Amino acid sequence: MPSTLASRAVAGNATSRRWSTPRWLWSATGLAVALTLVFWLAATSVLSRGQADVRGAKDRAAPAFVSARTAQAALADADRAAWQSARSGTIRLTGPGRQFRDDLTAAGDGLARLAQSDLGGAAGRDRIREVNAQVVAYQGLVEQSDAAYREGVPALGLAYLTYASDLLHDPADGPLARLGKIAERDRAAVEDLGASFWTGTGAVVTTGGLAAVLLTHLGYVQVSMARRFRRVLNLPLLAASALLLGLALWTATALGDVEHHFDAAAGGTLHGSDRTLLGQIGAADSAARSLARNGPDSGYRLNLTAANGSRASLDSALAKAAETGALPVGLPLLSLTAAALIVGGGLLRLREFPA
Amino acid sequence: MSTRPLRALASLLLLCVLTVSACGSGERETITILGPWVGKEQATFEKVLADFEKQTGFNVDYTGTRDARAVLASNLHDGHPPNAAVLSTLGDLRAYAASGRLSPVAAGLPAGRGGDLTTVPGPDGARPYGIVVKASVKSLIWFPRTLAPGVRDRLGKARSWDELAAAASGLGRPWCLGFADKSASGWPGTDWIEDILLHRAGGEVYDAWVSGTLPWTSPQVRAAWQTFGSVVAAGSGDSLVTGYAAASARMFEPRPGCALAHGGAFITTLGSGPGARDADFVPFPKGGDIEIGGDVLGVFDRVEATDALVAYLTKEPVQRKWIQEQGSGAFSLSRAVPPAAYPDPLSRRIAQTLADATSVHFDASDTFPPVLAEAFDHAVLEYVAAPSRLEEILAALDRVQKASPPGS
Repeated sequence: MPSTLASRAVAGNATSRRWSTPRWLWSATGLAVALTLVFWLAATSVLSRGQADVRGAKDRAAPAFVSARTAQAALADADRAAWQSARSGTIRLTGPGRQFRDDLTAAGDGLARLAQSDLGGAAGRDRIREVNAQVVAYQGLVEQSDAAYREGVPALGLAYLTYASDLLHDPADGPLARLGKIAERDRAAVEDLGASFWTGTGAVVTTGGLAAVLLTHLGYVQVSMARRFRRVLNLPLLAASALLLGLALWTATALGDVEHHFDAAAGGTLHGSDRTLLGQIGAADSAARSLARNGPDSGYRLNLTAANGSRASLDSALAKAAETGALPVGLPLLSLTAAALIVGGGLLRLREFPA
Repeated sequence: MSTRPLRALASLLLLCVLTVSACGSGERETITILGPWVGKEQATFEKVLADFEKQTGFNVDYTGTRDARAVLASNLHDGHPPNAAVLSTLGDLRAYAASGRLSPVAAGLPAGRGGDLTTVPGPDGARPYGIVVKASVKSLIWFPRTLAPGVRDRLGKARSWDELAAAASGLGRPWCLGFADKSASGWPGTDWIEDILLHRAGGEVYDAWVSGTLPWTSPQVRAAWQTFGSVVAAGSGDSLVTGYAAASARMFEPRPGCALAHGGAFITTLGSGPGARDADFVPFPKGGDIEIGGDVLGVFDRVEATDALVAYLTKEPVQRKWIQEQGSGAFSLSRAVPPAAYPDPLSRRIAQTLADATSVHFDASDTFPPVLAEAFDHAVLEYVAAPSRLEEILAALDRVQKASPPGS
């Protein structure tokens, strides 16, 4: 037993020799600076990767989704409008009508926007080309129908309108089905981005955890210094701690806001937009089917205002998620200031030792 | 100063260079093919391509889409054509060859049944611009196996259209007619008119009509249209808005709405059409002449791998493998592939009909310039809707033909 105590005392002396106060000061200050830099890098990574995801949704996936659904709704309504013109007899006088043309213009705009923001790469471009080609073919068939009605061959006019409608509604590879698939893919892309680690609670907790480790270390250094130097506070270190605490709270709040707004956009707002547009597509399809069977006109008309409203609310929710204020500038600035204060606090005590 | 570190560095660099060269030389050339085959047809073609890749070391990237024609036009417009494309009509092959878009394929490939179908005029004269990769036998009259034996016997013995019409006349509304096929509506009617003209007026008249030397308003062509009109008059009244497959399926309903369907061998592959087990056929009377359709491979960007692919696809074992794939619906024009090579009795009989033909003619509407082919489709629909307008329709087709010479 005595020999064990003696060996422990020798080891203790060796440790205190290894960890002289200046060396401890250098090490504690260095570790605090390193942790500050790690916090800065981690928070910056979370912020930039999260914002990249938000931008991906805001600039590509969400516009692509809305464009595909809008084009789908406009085409469905074009078919309804063409049938209505045929059944009411106005096709003989004015062709498929103004609503038909307006719908095709809206569909063309939607397809053009979709081509700009599509996520499908080369294969996606081919799919959009195919849809464009089918829309042209559809329009050609409706024009043939128009010509047949004007020439006084209504049976042929009716047949061409049926071919056009069948082309549009082909469940396997008609333009409506293809646009539906594209919209579902893009909606899933928004949801995936919304569920990414960088915009989720995990990223906020990780960043907050690093901040907690850093602040705990600074607290430990402050207390240890107070013991070793018999002074109550190291003011630069205290200032660095306050600065980092504020920065951590700012960062956590900003990342939490991103998470909240992105969740809202990728969840409720996105699904609400989808419901609105799918409702319009369903109503147009149903009205077209009724007219094709020579049934009554349901009176449905495409409500582009509602469609645009859906797009606006989605844009707005994603714009809020993209809003991080001055944090991208504040994060490096305050982190470096805190690191400088930590170094200053350490040097202040080191100066008390002879060189 | 020691030279050992320099030597070591030089050896290392040499090793790196050799490694990179070795890797580079192992890189396989990849070619792109665009085609209209999707689903089962695509799977069959990709099996054939997989063997090609294994045997040659080239890679093939096939894209199948039902709108291959539109996508090809768009790719050409963008200046990024695929290396090769499967074209659904000879008319498209002619048009692309005449415009200089297609590269000629290697000469000396074996000519199959039907002769040298793909040698067409290009900027440097007539040269082979493609190969028929998959043929479909047309000129067939289909009926359910449950049809009364007496009727079947009369159909089988019919040696002329009039005899066939007489045999069919006892069947109420005999013909299953459906001309709807979205943007391609009308083609089943063009097949009818082509077969009637081919088998009533003969191969020479048919070829003269296809080449544009026999006008649409000629008595022979007019008579073919009128005969087709009698078929339509004896069919159900909804043929304009009924799909081809749906119309053919009516012969198998518990209370059949019709008994006979005119069509190619592909009728057995249609989802809702007659299945191979339920249907039987007789050749369009009188036999001897037969009409075929086919998909043609054209080369837009010729490289070593496209030459290898063209040569590979024309090989007899490859053709044999393709036709033996269940559900491929493919027939080979190669004389080296005998009817016995086909996988089921019905296919073997169809192949035998092709082998027995004295004269094989390519589908006229697939040979016409695209504008005329489209006008022909429309003309059929217009005639079905308003038979009294026949003279106007034929005169309009003559005008379209003059405005769109072969290759346009």
